[in-house]
Amino acid sequence: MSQRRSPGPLDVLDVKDVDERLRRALRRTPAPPRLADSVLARVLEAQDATGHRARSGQAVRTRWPVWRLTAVAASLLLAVASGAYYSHRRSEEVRAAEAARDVRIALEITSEKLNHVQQKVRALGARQF
Amino acid sequence: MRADDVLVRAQAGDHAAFADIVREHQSMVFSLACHIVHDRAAAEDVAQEVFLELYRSLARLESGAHLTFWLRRVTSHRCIDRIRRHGRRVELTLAETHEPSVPPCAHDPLLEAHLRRLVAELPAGARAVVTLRYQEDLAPSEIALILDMPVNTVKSHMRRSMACLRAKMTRNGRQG
Repeated sequence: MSQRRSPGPLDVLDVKDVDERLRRALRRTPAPPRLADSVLARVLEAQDATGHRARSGQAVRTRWPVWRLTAVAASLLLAVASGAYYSHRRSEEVRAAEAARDVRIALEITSEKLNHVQQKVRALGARQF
Repeated sequence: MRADDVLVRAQAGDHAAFADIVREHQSMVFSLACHIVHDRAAAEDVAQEVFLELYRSLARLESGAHLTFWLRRVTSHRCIDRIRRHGRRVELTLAETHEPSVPPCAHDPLLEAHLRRLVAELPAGARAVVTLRYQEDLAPSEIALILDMPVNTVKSHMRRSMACLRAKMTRNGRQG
């Protein structure tokens, strides 16, 4: 014996009713009672966070303004550059002095050799005449 | 006119006025989210995010009507994004279908819950169209503006969704 199923809720529903049924099913429902309070709390929290960030930023700006940071960086750069230049100049002066001394010694040696050759030439000339 | 005044006061930084706006529209926003995402907790999250965004966007709103339009638009888009991001799609099992043995009366909570679940099975965009149509009683042209869709796309979503809902209703009714 086949069991005949009782009609489902929608078998008996007129298709024209669907619109009305959907309207009822999808009508507005009350929001949870805490929703508005939660939103307002989050708004205040966000505002506080923004204010705190702004204040922190301001404090940092007050302590370390950009112009001051720039001046410190420029001073450091100038000091390092001056040091490097001075050091380079000193080493150049030392090398120049060493070179001058070497040239003087070389000239002295050459002069001595010339004197020596001149004396030999004179001695040889005196012997011939 | 009153809505415009409240908006102006909220724009001037009056927290009480903003609270009035939230209380006035919370049911609309929460219901839209609830019917589209089909999850009360997620709907509450969406509603909170929408109102926070509203607070940040107050200066751009021109009137009470603009505010309502803005809320519907942002809520719908947030819900659609959320569904697409989480891939949440309600699957209706046979066990979950309600089959009362008596014909439905004018107000049948079981049938209404069943219809809401059937709507929740629709794709995200179609779900938003059906919800805006039946919850907010909006015309296709208004829905098109809210969802950034051509009017013909809205109408085709409506036709396909209704055909799908009727087919499921008939199939569910005949199963078993």
